[in-house]
Amino acid sequence: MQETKAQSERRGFDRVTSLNEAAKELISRSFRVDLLALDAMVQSKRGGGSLRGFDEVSSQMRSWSRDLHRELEELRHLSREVVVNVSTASKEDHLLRLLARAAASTGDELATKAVALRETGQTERGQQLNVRWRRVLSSLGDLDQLGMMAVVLSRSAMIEASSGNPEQRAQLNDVSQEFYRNSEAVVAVLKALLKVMRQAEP
Amino acid sequence: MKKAATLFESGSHRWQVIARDPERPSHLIDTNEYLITSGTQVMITDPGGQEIFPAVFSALSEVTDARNLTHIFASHQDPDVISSLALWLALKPDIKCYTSWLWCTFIPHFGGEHDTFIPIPDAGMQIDFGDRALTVVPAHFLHSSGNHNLYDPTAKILFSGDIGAALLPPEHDGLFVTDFDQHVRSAKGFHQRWMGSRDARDAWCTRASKLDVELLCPQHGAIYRGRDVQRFINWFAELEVGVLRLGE
Repeated sequence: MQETKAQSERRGFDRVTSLNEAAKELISRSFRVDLLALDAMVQSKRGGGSLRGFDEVSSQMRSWSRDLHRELEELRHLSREVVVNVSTASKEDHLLRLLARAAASTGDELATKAVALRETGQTERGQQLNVRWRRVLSSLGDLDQLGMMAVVLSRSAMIEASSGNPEQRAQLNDVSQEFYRNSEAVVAVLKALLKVMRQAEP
Repeated sequence: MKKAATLFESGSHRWQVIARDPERPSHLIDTNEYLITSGTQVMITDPGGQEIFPAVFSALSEVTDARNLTHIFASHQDPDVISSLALWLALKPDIKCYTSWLWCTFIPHFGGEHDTFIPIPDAGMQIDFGDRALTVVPAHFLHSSGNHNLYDPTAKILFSGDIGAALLPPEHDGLFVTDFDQHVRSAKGFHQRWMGSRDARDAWCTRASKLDVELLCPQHGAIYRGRDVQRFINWFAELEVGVLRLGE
């Protein structure tokens, strides 16, 4: 069945709001993940030379969390641009519909020209939006890769944690597990978001 | 783009203001939109004109999921108050709009269906909102003939629409009034021209004085807080207003 203009507009808003909300959640999770990575580094330093393996993994976790944060900032920036783009397009579309009705009912040359001018603007805006959506999808793809790496890293951290003494083991295991849980949550949000974005691809 | 700032927060009950757009073209009057959240419900007061919709929507999206927006409160019918209605409804068609019964057949010229509007009687009403109650306070003829304010006894905030509005010079872009005497110089001309009735003004001042208000939040200009709220009410009560001034 042919989608109406109103349905398509609502879908656009839904898509952009999903992206925006997910970006906000991911940013807030990324702060937690960064703290955990830092905690892991501190704990491994405390363990001295006996935790060389965990030391290496925790450095990678920290470096990973920085990469994640950078990528998410880029996604947030893109998300803000898309929000403005979609809301502006919606406003212009509303005016265009009213103008087009006036032009159609009168055949007035001035109104017809005004419609054509606005249509050109909307086409350009649509192209701009498509480019931005592609950048969003590409950014999400990169983030998805990063997410996978985090799960692998946290598993390695859990294995390396077992090499410490019993007291260290418990602490390292806690931090590794929490890192794992947060990484999994990041991956889950990303996967859900990618699904929504791909389904909604124009 | 506009920015959102929190004015009050207690549990899930929150007031935020969306204000100050450095990119706003100078031919558009600056506006403040207020977001009230309680539980799962979100209301926006005087959401603004359609030209500023992208800026307001963008700022709102920064602080809340726009799909949670449930209500609009329109203090009156002016274009800078509610001409963006059709755009908000495009986002969420089931949003309900509280406005004076007087405007329920006029505002649909901006958008909305027969079931979009919840008419507010002249005497005002109580709105059960989330887990709190908001009070709609009559403010007729200040300036519109069907005009209401919105009072939140929990947050002690009075959204006053055009009452208290000031047309501030660009260098005075603070969110709150800091120098009352200087501020009212920017409010004087606006109130003298727009507020057409002394009786209506007197009735509002008496009504507002009885409310426990910590923040008086107008649709334009800076927010009055603390002692400046009563100072404003007293100042307004003494101001020469009314249509007869035009002949002077």
